[in-house]
Amino acid sequence: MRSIFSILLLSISFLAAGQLVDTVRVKSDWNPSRIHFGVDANRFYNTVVKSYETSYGGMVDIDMHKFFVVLEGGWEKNHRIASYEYTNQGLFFKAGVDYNLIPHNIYRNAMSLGVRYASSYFSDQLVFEDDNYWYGNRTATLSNDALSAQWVEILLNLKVRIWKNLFLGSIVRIETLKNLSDTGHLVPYDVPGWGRNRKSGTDLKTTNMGFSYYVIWNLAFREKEIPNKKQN
Amino acid sequence: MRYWLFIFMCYSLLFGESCNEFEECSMNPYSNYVVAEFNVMADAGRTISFDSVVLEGYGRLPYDQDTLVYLALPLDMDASGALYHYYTDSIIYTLGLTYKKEGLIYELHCDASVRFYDLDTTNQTFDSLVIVGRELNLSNYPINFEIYL
Repeated sequence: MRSIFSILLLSISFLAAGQLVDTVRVKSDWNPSRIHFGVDANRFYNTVVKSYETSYGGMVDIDMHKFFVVLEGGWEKNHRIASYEYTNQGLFFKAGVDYNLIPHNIYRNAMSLGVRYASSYFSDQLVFEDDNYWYGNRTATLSNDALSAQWVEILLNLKVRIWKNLFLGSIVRIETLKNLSDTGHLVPYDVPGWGRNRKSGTDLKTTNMGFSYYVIWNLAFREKEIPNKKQN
Repeated sequence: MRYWLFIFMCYSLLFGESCNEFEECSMNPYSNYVVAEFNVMADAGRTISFDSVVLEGYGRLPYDQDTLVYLALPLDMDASGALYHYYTDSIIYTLGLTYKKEGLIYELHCDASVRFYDLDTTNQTFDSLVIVGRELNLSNYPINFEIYL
């Protein structure tokens, strides 16, 4: 019943907009009206389930007309133990803009295309047994103290309202143009915020895909009219 | 609302699957020895053998008195250079090398590896030496040096 009412309301709005479009030009509202605070659920899940990973991440964005100005960040530690012991930990930050493709959605859902500039600061260490036919077995320790990496992301971001001010967010990212600082005597296996640094085998990953799932709280501090489809 | 939740679920399931490839550990191409191929310039039928081959800081290399076509020259990951002496009954040949190295994890389930690269000679007294591959990567460079006597 409520859906039918919504559809009717939408239809009326569209009809009304259709009649007014020739005469009324709605001014774009660039003043922010709400902030989204999000917790990276995927990282939280990994922290609970994966014994080698401890990771936390979050995001905050603010709306401006059809755009969201976004900041993301987090901390990640991987401690992998096999025939070697590899530890990698550091911070990452991402800043960018999302363009909402459905600003007229009545639930304030958002499907956005976005870009991010990302930066990561981390260190890593590899302890392993060097099995050498001539020199015998020796324990080797290699480490990088202060590494940094920068890259660019293009992403598709979907935010769906599930209850009142609670939203779920899902982001699929294409990460590219990675620039890693001088790595010394150890090639990092992971880059916090980027993911796996090496492709399977011998090559470094120049492009990567990433996924984030956010639980988001919508904090509205001002009423803002939801535009009709015709009001661009 | 349900429509959007359905879209969200589809979207998450569609893109949420990881897609990393995994390699067999046996495919790891990184080695810790230079492969030198010996050739005779003047007489292709002549064989090459040394009285001994000595790596400074290590000692005599195994199999150094065999008739040689190929010889593995070990590199030490704790150093950045190596000096080899090839003894014959009349001549001592010398070969000095420099290299860089880095540790890496080839695959999570494999042993850690060391990649040796930027291989170069500092000095050598053979008739001729050609650097075929500057990286110790058996897939890309099965032979690193071609040495002519």
